[in-house]
Amino acid sequence: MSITADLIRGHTETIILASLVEHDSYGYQINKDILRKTDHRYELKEATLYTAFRRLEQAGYITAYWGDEKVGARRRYYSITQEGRKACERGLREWKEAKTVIDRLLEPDQ
Amino acid sequence: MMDNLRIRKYMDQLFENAPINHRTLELKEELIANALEKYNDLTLRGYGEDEAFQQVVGSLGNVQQLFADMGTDEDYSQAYYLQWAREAQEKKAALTAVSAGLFLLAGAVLIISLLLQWYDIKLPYFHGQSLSFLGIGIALLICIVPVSMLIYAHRIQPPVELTGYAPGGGVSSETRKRRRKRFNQIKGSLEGLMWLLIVIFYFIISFATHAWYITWILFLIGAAVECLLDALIKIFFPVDRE
Repeated sequence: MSITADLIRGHTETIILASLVEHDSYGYQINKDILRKTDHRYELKEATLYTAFRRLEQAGYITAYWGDEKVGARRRYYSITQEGRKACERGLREWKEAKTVIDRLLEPDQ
Repeated sequence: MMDNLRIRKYMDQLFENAPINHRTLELKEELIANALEKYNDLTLRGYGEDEAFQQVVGSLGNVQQLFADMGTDEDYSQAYYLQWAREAQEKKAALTAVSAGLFLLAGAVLIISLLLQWYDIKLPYFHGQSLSFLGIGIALLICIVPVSMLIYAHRIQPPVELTGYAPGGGVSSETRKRRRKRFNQIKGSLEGLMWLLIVIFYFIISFATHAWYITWILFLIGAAVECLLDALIKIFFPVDRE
């Protein structure tokens, strides 16, 4: 459980990028997507999420814009850049590599 | 509504010690928007108000950590920001009030011109039909001013859009004082020029029309224009509070 949470945290940025590949989204929506995909087992703390947003923005992987909600506070939407897509693919590749390595290391030899 | 306020208040407290710059202001609005939506979702799913509030607040995590890399490099402090917000509010109120006054003035001009026509009072050059046309024309011209003022007032944005707003451009108070002094000098010479023109026009018009009994009104108009300009200057260029 806590190992899983740690692993997820280690891939926060790739997870966010992956959730932006299909369509632009905003903080709460991204967290809802994560909840849905993990059957309500995991969700990112807001602080983690927004720190990651800032880092991704600075890296030029995402850009932000304000929604035009007429009532209440405005949503801040994020959209992925070309660079971001590349970074997302890179992250996925790295994860797959790590997965194979860990599989080999942890599973008993046949 | 009560609980929206509760969340907003909580965020206010959370951000109390945060450096005030456009990044933290944006972060705050972003957090509020998402927190409110989450709160509404939770209450729709049957959570009690307290429970929902606790959930929302609980999932925030350590927000202080977020401020850490948002530095205080920007030139405006919390005090500056609050003052900006206050001034924006005052400015809006003043603009609206002056606009309302000008609309009334336009209405009054219109009514007076119609009354003059009604009682068949003759002004030099203008009487009967042409008098009411004159009234309508002047009223419309007056209306231009409050309409532009209202459009401007409408464009004064809520605080969070401080994005790209450079307060005073980081100008030192010394420079500001110098600018204001220069500004006052220019204003003084322009006012002098206006009065000189009024006197010239007074004589030209009076000699041309021999309507001495009415042309003195030019001076009243001049005084009114001067007051109006003064008010406008105060609105658009508020004196910097040191």
